Amino acid sequence: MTERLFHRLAAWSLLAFATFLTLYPVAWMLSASLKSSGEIFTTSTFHLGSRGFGNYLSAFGERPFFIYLLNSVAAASVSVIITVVLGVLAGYSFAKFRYRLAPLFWLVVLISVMIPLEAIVIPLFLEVHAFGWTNTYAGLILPTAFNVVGIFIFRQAIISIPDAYIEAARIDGASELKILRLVVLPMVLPSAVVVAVLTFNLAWNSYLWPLIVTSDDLMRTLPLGMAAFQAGFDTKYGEVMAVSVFGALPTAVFFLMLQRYFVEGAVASGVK
Amino acid sequence: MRIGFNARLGVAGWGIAFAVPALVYIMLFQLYPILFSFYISLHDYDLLSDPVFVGFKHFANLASDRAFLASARITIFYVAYTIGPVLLLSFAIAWALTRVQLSRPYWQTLLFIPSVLPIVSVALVWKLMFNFPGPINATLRGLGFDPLPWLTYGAYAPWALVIMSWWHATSYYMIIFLAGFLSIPKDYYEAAAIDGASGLQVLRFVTLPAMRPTIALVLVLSTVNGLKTFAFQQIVTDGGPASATQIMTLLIYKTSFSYLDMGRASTYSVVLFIGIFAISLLQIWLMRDRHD
Repeated sequence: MTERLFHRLAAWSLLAFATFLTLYPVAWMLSASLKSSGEIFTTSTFHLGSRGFGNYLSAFGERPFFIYLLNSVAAASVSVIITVVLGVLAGYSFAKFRYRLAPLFWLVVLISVMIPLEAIVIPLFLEVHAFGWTNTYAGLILPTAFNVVGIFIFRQAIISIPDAYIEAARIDGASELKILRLVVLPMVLPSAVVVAVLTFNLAWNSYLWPLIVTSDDLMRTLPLGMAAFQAGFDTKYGEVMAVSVFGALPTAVFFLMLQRYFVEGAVASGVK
Repeated sequence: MRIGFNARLGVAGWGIAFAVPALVYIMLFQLYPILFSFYISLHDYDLLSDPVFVGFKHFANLASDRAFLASARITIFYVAYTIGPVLLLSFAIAWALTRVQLSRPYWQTLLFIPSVLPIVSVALVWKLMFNFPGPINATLRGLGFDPLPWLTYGAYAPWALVIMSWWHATSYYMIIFLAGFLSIPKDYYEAAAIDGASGLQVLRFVTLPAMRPTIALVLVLSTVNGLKTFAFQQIVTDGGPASATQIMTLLIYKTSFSYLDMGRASTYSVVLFIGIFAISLLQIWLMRDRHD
């Protein structure tokens, strides 16, 4: 009994301490975004500063942050659509169809998971250049749009659909596309949300590829715009923090609404 | 009409047709580039003139390439000092989360925040936190230590990046560990309780063995993710001061897109790829029981 009490006390202290350390930089960012550069390093975190939302307004005045935001939304949305569509199709194929090429196809998928973007940016850039896609939305979005983890998540979900459902539909003369639409899709909707949230967040965070493929300011996504703002105005600390908060807001709202799916996606992308 | 098409293609044909779009995507934007990467690594290429075949020259040069060796050392430093503390912290926090019942969702939400924040926001905040007059040095001073020039001195900058990675990565692996803890069957603990096992014995003989696959998974994932890190170093220090934080991804980026030495940069990429590929193979081997 005392041991259990001790455990609970230890757990609470650890959680409280970890939460404090986790939240401190976030609180500091929020408070700094409301301060003038002079106040940031001289006043406490809980001092709310004199700038109000002035930093936000002047940062938006200096760079087209709403364009960056739109570019990011477009890139993340296309990425989600491509990943869900290709992921459902391939996941269905690997879960329920037996054909001679299947092991080879599966091997290709497994290998692709082990090819990091960081190691192929040079050939990818040359390829996109050859397509004439540099500084275009196609070049920005398409090469990194498909998140292979989607195949794993959908395959896992579709495996658990009883074969009898699919066979029954087939015997009734339903076409394969109809089976996909009416039998498979409704049963994998929760997985689709997980894949969508996971992919959206990945695309939203994408930094290296947009950095390489865009040079036009109006093509920049939000992470690039934020980093470029910092590089250009690195002593305007308050405005840099305002920009950081602005970039974090959409995901924060998204997270609060769809928390369960964020967590499931995090686990699924690790375990695969 | 549709039935006729259906019959002509056959069920297996449909299976192939469903897999093809994803496979085309993978081949176009992953397999072809990695093969192309090997090809460029055997050439001198500066984007302006045609590639010149040089065989394994770039690979032979690696052993005496000081930028590469320094970067390899920094990359290993970063990965090595990140994974240990992150593993321990995320394991301990996940364990603590299993000890609380009603309040768990609230703690979990708050502790997961670093994984939800955009990487660039995280980098920008920590860059200022490590500023010479900044909150971290203010804390150090409050505790009676001297403030440190975290980002401007080569001995401290790698540590600054390691410390911010602890903060950032712990929240993610905590979730993986929590999932692992929650999947341990309750009977194990009941059996241990009936046998009169102490808390430490339960940890040693029940929890740790059951968690071994998850621990292995987190080790592999954190190593691979550490090797792939780019944005933190690029934004916070841009590899500096004097390339003290120039990890491999950043060296590849600069060698290719600043110095236009595509052959050499591709050789670095191939080395990075082989490292990550080998570790990922290890993951598949560790996870082999889970696939069906």
